[in-house]
Amino acid sequence: MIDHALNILTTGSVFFTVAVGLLIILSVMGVVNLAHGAFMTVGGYAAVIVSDQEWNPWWSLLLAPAAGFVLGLITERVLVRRLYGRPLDTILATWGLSIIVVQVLSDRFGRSSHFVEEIVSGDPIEFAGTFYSQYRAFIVIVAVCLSLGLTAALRYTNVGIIARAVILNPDLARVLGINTRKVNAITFACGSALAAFAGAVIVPMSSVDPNMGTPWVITAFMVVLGAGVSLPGLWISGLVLAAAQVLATFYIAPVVGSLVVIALPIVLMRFYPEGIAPLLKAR
Amino acid sequence: MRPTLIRSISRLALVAGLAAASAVPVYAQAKKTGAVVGLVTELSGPASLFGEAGLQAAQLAADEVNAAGGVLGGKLELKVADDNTDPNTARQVWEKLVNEGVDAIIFRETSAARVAALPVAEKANIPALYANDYEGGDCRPILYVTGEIEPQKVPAYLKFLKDKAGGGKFFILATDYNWARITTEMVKKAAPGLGIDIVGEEFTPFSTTDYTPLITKIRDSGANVLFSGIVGGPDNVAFFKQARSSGLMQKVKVVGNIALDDTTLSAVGGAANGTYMAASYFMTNDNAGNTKFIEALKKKFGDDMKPQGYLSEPAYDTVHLYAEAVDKAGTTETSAVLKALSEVKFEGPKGAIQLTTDRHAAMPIYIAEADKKGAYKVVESLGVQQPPKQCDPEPPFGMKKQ
Repeated sequence: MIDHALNILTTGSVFFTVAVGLLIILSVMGVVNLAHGAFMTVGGYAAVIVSDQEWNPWWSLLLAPAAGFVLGLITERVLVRRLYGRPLDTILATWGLSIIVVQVLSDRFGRSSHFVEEIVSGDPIEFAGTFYSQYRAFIVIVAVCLSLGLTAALRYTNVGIIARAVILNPDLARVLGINTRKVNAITFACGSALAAFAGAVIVPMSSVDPNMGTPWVITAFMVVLGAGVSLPGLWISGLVLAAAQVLATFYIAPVVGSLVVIALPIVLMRFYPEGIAPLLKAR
Repeated sequence: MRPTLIRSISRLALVAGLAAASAVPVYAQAKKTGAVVGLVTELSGPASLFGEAGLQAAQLAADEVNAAGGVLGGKLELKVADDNTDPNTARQVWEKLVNEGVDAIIFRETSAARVAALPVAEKANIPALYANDYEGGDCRPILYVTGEIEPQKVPAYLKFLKDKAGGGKFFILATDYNWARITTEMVKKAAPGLGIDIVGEEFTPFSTTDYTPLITKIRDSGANVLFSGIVGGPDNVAFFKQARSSGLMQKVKVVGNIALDDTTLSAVGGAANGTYMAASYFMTNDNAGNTKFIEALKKKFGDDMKPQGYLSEPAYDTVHLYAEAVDKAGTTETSAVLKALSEVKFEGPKGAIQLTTDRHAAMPIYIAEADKKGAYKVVESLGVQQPPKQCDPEPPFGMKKQ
């Protein structure tokens, strides 16, 4: 039982970390960034560079978001900015961009897999009669810090207040003299940085290859679909999907486990097209 | 490449001239010297790691055969073709080789490519020699398999793992595809006779990144042996890193791999430290035959030498076995060569290989342990293992079935 709870907590934290960048871009800009997976892959390769140079693995947590931020800024300037108000075209354009990024990475690093040093390693922690991986504990801490930091930034900083204003009513925000272009550019860059950050966080437990982002962009999309525009909603959605995946993998089969992550949000959409966010607000 | 190409073009022109009206292929010529063998392997695509190593092994063997006087008083020539790790391409390059009049085809390809391409050799009625490990059971009369088959090593390997762990509770974890499913069935069939209890089995999709629920399940099952058929570097790294960091490796006493070959292990590195593998060939085996083989490869290829493993080394044995069979038969004619193949023996890097009348191969099997640097070290020899009967012996060999 405790095993399941811990596994759900860690998988949920991974889901949250992976999806939060997508959520921020979607809620502020109304843009579905399908290059999210490609930005995660960039973060993964940032970790590969850190590992290859034999730097301290902690540097990957800095290098990855920096690379993501710059890439996001450029993408917003040359691509996304020209497609505002055309959501379908943005989806196509960002998907196309992700193909280009993946090809560039394949060309530079090759198609084979790379493996990355763990940021936190060591013997498992013994906890309530079971063993728990230090790295997984680290991921939970990262996810919690990330959500607290973002909540604080949205609530207490000027940028956060402006961002919330744009989320609530973009037109009114512009009328009030808020430079929505600037807000959008910064939002997109931050979302991309978060994607790359997530990539660097998850790769030490698996591996890096040019296509690693594709399954993750689907997972991230599904988690965001379930959540709606809300950070607590993203946590709930992430944990529920993690629970479904962990339990289905354990009690039925791994294939069913990966299937429910996709099936569950689709069923949810049928009844709550806005995700679970409105339910949280209604209280 | 260049001289071979020119020669094959001139040969084609010659053939076209000679056989302008009839469709009689080249091997109808009387009194020929030497032999031309098609060598098909993966020089691009996902399996190219094995294909390039297999090509080097085969080229070395051809050099050795020619240095020792060649075959039938002439040269043994390899015509190399790349199947791009793709069954469709495989079929096309086989057809091209047959049109060029090769006497036989030696191939190191995936099972999917094998199934797609073999009808080409059947139609042309030329011997096909499969220099690879596979699950067994392919009984086309023109086909010889020179690599090991899983049923040949699984029972002895299971017994080794059970003895090592001091108990017979096995959990099987494998990647979800045909080969692994067939191998799992083999393990389950052999288990009761060895006093082994299968306490669980799970199949994971390719590129699984999160193994945690399964690690919990393996731990809860009380297994003392984990039998792993996880395929490929990324999946093995993800699993072993997560298993190690969550304490599973301390809980199960013994982990036996069946799909983690030494080329992949070198990419996986230390994550699989302490796990076992059974195969006919390990590059680190320090017997005399292998030392000589590795020295010769280093001399021929220098820094370009690819690491060898049980998925590539058979190409070396196969070229030698074919050359000996042709010499013994005194001809490259198909039925005579097929018959001679079951009578020749080759002493190579892995030890003595003897092809069987049901067109598979008896050979020594070794067990090795992975070390911290991602290399297997041989820890035990299981001796020569006969393949269980796969096919009906079929004299006269090579008769075309209508």
